[in-house]
Order: sequence, then C-alpha cells, then structure tokens
Amino acid sequence: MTKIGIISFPGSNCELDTLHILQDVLHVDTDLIWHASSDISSYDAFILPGGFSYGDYLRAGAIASKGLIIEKLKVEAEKGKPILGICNGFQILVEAGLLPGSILLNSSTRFICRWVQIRMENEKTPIGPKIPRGTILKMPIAHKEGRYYVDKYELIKLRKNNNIVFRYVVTSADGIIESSPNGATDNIAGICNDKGNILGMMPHPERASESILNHVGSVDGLRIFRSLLSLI
Amino acid sequence: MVRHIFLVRAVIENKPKAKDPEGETIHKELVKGREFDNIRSLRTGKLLSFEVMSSSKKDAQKTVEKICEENRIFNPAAHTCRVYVEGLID
Repeated sequence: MTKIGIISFPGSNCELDTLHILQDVLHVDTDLIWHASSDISSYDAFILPGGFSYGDYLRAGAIASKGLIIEKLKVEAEKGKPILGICNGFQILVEAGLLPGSILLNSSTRFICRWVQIRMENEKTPIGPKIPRGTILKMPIAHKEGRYYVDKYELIKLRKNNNIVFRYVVTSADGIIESSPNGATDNIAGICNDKGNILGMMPHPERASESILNHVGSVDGLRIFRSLLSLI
Repeated sequence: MVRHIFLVRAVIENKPKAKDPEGETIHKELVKGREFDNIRSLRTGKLLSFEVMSSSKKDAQKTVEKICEENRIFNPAAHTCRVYVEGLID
C-alpha cells in the first residue's frame, strides 16, 4: 500500500494542511516525519512542506538542507522515489543540491501572498501526462524569498534538459502572457531534476485543493498531488 | 584635488549582551558537533559596502560613519556599528 512521508523541520508550518489533503481528501496513507527520524526507507514518496524552517536563518532552507534526514532523502531520491518540495520545501531542495539554481529575495523585497496562475510547461517530465502542457493552474504563493535564479548558461541547460515544469502567467487583453510576481528568471515557478522524480515549486497546491476553502474555488492543487501519486 | 574611490564597509551586529537567535541557530546546527567544536560562539550581522569618492581614506571613513549615524542605518540602542576602509577600488 502506498505510503507518503511529509518531512517537517522546526519552523515548518504547512505540514498539517498537506497531511489533511493527502489523508482526508485523497485518502492516501500519510505520515508526518520529524527531521530527526532515523529511517525513512519504508515510504514511497516524500513531501517537503512550506514554512520557515529554522526561522529562514542564514538563507531560506539553508540549515534544513544540511540535516541528516536530507542525506537519507538523497538515498531515496537515487532510488527514483518521487519528492515534492513546496515553497520552503523547494528552497530546501535547491539548497541541498537536489534541484539546480538558487532562490533569492523577491525583486520587490516584500513578502508576497496572493493567488497566481502557473502554466504546465513540460509534459516530458514524469508528471506531464497527468497535466498536459499548457494547462493553467490556479494556486496561491506566500513567500519573501521566492525568486528562482539561474544565470544565462544554467538557463540554457534547464531548457535543454526539460527541467522547467511551471512558469507564472497572467491573463491579459492579449491572452495568456508570462509574468512573474517575484522576478524569477524566465518566470520559473517550478522545476524538476534531470530524472524528473524531484519537483520543487513555490506555489502552494495544498492551499488550492478544496474549493470550499478558497475564494476562487480552485482544486488545481489536487492535480499536483495526483501526479505525484501517479509516479509511485 | 585627486579623488579616489574607496571601498568602505559598515558591519552592524547586535550588542554583545543582546541575544542573537540566528547566530545561535547557525552555530548549533551547522558548526558545533560537526568537527568544529573549537568554535565557542557565532554572531550574525549585516555588512554594508559603500563605494565612496573621496580625497582621503580618513574622509571616506568619516563620510560613512556620518551616514550610518544620521540616517539610523543601525539602532544604537541594540546594535554596534563598526566602519572600516577595505581599500581602494581601481
């Protein structure tokens, strides 16, 4: 039976929302895993939830990325197990070197908390077939350090290796156009590793998974979790 | 008058008696117990780098000290601010 592990650190604060969606909405066997846990090998997939691990000290995700559980997570990642990092979880995956690039302070230098649209850019990733290319998903962002950054050489590599999974878009008079709320390179909202089993994204799918709990009635976040589950 | 460009730094830290949770956390999680047990403590702060056009090193330092004091770049009740000239910029 499929079992998901949500890894939390001191300062994580979205782990219970994520647990609720997986357990109560999608009815998947899910455990919270405290970062000091010794064995995580019995889980089929992992989620690193949002929050402010270790108070965002040094850099967001920097301290959590050096924890022993991340070394264990790397072993599980090597086996091809799916890993999803949401917001702070994405920052941790980048700091740990499991995903390329860096995540920097928003261009505005402000904390941004609002609904955005993201577009599925790459159906060649393992989660692609469940969310066809061009699909627009609505979900919220809530971050101060969310500006995904790579230099132009790294960006060429990301494009070539099909690492870019989601880009921020807006609906304008000219149709759907790319536009980043935080100044991200190439309007990137989410990326995956070369193998495609590790996905990091700044928007929060767990906050867009029950229509009754958000003013836009979005359940687009469920598609992300279902895609993750389809990899198992 | 010959004017040079000096790189002047201002280092702002919490006063020694003011708790520094960020420094303590970095020390506990990333330094202590990771073969660096000889590090007794660690403090965080902010580093500001100024490129100052000035005729002398002394004036360059004074200018930045004035900026930091008059514009409340640091909070004198809680912080220390050390200004020093790193060197000349070509």
